[in-house]
Amino acid sequence: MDSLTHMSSPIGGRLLAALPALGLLGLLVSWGADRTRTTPPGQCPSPQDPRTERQAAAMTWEIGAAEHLQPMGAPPTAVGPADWAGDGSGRLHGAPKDPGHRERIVGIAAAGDRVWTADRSGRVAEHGPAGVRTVELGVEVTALAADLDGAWIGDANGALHRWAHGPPSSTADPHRGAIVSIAAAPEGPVSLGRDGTVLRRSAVGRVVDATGGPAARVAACADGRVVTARTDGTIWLGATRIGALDTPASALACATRVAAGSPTGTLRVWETDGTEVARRGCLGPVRDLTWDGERLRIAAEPRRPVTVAERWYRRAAGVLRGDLGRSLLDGRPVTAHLREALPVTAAVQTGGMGIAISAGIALGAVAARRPGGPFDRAAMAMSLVFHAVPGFWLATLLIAVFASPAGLGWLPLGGLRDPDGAAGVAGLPDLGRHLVLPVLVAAHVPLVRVAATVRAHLVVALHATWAERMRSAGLPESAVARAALRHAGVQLLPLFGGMLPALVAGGIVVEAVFGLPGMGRLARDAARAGDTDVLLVLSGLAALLALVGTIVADALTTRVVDEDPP
Amino acid sequence: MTRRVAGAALLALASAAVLGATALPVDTFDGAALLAGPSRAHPLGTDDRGRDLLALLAHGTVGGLRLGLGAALGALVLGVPAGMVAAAARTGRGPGRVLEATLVATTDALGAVPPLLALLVASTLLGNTDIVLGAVLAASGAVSAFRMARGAADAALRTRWYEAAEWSGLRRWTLLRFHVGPQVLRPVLALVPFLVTGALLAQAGLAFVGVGGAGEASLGDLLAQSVAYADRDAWHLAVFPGAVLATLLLMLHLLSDRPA
Repeated sequence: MDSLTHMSSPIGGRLLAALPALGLLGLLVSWGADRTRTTPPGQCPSPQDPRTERQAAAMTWEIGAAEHLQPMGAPPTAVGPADWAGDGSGRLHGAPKDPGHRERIVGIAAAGDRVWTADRSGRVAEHGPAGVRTVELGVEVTALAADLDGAWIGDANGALHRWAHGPPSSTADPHRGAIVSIAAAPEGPVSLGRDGTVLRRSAVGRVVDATGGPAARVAACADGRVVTARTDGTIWLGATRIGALDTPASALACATRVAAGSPTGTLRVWETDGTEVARRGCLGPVRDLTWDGERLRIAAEPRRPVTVAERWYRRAAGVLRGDLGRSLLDGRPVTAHLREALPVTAAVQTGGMGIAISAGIALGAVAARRPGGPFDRAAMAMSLVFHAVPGFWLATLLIAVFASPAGLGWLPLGGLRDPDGAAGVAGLPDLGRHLVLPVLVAAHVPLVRVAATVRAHLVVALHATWAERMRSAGLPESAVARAALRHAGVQLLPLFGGMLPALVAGGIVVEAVFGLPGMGRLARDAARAGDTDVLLVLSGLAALLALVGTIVADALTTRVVDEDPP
Repeated sequence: MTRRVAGAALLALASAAVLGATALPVDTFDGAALLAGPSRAHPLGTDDRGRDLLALLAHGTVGGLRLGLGAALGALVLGVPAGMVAAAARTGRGPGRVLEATLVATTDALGAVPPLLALLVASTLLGNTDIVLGAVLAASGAVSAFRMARGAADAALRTRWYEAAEWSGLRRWTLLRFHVGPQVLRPVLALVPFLVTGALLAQAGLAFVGVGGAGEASLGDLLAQSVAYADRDAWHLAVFPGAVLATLLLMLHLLSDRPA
């Protein structure tokens, strides 16, 4: 009856029960981890936030309509009309013919039926109906713009190059520093230098822009007017201020409206009279903007919210690959932390367990010989008091007596090794001295439990019918005692199984007193810092150890009991 | 006999703590006496912010007992009905067996996480409040309550008199409530001191480690101070809170039926 009503196989049943339970636990912790990383309303979570995922894609965005992502494989650095986009390695997406760019695409500019592309190495290409022409400027190119006649190219030395019908020529009087941005206005190019000066060139001559304040980007509108984004974040159309970003713009575009993008991932669009039309956040740094007829094209990494289930799936997949995540505190893998901490706690806890088993069995056995006798009463009273003393208080008392210079001063106060002690094998005695008190404190609770269990079961066994039969059969008392001890020893197995999670959680308090770099310290530091990856792994590990402990104890108990029916 | 003495001592200690907590304010800071030893003004000395240790002890004891009793109550409310239902469902067929297996698996899973670690995780994620601590402690205590209630109810369900009651045609819920309930209540109530002990130890441990409400009046925080100021002459910070905590725990142990 009893075996039928229990789950058919205790081991299989426990495994089956534990797996979804572990999963649920992980889900709870990752859910909690999200709650702790809250974002003020209206703001985008930080780029490192695990709740969003950056996608390497250029975006087309029509205001009020759905956005379209164009997967790139790498973050886009420049966009042009008609789904053209370039990335940091010189790949040009959307172009019918590969112009052979080898470095970061700096710009894509279109005018009429031709498109110009330029990469950082100085290679400029003209994609026309007749095919692709390329030219090598031999200088580092930093900006590109185009009008119906040809391309304007800015270089890192501040010179502006014109590539129209013949070979490229450079204009006189360069900027001080690289050209950041060029706007191809009808009356002549407007170029912006790294120092923030804006130069307008026309048939009449060169004019230094007088709108005031250093600029970050320039762009030309369809009607020929020039838009300037200043380094204070304000956006100016001619001499009128039409809006502002909270950082200097990293990209600027104008058609019949003005769009500006920030390096922090916001995009704002205004009418030319300054009314805001649209706003979009949750992007990576905006690198480039282009109006494509009606649609705005954006070179930025859009971020996509990631659902809890998806994150959980990824985490589970990571665990299967052996990737347990990284500590928030120092960015190191959790596995590295475990490798350092586990041996310390294992040494302390197994040492404590060893003392608890040997001393506990001895105490329990002696106490059971005469239950109610003076030794029994004294031992049980002692163990009661012992059990009532919290481990950390015992630890502080032991330190005060044995380690403190004011006390006996025999043992070190804490830590794992003397800072100037020997390393390796020669340092083992020193290591041992450091571990004496922690091991004693780790032993104190299991010792009491072992002693109580052994005593209780020995008392029963020594007076059981089979023990009496053994005695009446003439067997010596030592044989009876051995059999009874074996009987009581089996009862210790589940106790040990239940103590396996101590490898993770057993040292939380004691390691804090002794300053040991073990699992308990790891757990405490992680809890103080809100380091959820570490906490997740530790709780999972503790649950796993509890499971293993129960299974092994069950299996051993079954085996011993099967071998030796009482 | 011992249990009665322990119970009386516990009651006396608790009422003294409640009296002390109402009479002595905990938020008066004596800047002139930081970490001072016992004196006429402060019978047990002061802590590192010049608060009276006697008042701190009273408030800490009340806080600890409140948390412990709350957690124990929560554990019983959560665990006992579930345990009884599991025991009753076990004799059924089909859905009843599934229900029992689910309940057992859930408690096994809950019991697999060491309480102190669960407390660390919960206080990190949900904030370090008495409510969160109490909820986690109640959940971990509910595992013991569930197992004990299930065992006791199971034993009661197999008795002859239960069979007789069943034959009398009473409804199943009535049977569970009036015939099994009292049999379960006795062993489960014996669990209460055990649960309170666990809660006290966990709270003190957390505060000692510095995760639980540092600076508040808790016995663990005072003991943590005693370690932090081990180089100063602040013996009273280690001895008095430690003694109060150990006495509480010892009395609770004696009160519970469990051998050690």
